[in-house]
Amino acid sequence: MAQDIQSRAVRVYYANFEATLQEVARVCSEVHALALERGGEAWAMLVDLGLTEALTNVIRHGYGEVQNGRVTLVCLVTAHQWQLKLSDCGNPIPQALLHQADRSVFDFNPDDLHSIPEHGMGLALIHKCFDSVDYQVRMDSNELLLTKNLNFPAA
Amino acid sequence: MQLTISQSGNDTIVGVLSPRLDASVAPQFKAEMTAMINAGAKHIVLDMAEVKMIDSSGLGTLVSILKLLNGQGKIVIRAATPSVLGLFKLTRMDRVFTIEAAAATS
Repeated sequence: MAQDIQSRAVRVYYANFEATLQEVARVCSEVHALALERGGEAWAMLVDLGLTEALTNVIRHGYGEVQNGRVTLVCLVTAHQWQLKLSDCGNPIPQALLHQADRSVFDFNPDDLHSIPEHGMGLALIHKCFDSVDYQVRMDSNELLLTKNLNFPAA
Repeated sequence: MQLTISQSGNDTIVGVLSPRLDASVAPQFKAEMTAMINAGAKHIVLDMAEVKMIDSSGLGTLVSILKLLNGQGKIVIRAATPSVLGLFKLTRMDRVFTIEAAAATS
């Protein structure tokens, strides 16, 4: 089934870029513009936000202090889905951490200033923004596949 | 990142001119806002009309600025774009910050 979806997918974006936060901003802005063409602003915002969080995690936690790291991003579009495939050669994110993102991070008490989170929102946002999040650690790279369903008529 | 700063009565009005308030600019934004608060600003109005996207780093910075005020001031979000409003609702931060509606266009 996954192979069938892949075979009909169209690659609409490819970037291989230096693992810096400035490059993340540039690439995510470009993907945002593409998403906007396909869907509304709200939908494009979720794609941009989730991708930004994922790439920022790669830069901060995958590569950390490592210089000259690179990231590859491929965006595949089918009639029903957007798939963003991120590949990097940094330290892998522990599977448990990725899938046990603290979904309750936003269940804070707004009247209790100290309970309002400043950190730890990134992974929870990735899961909120995408319909599925799959991660594979290979011998020489890590691959994160973010999938978002198109819930509106195709343009 | 570019900020414009003006005073209106007790309000310090900060125009955020960057289209993205994300991890690439959040540290600089935090440093500038912290300096402003240390200089005495307590009622801060952030004009977000130019901001198209905020990520968790930007949002965390806003929370950190609010905590720095320690209940002795307030932060108002003005002219937020639909994307920015969406993030506040998604993260339930719309319960934390005072969000003014965008001005009606004539």
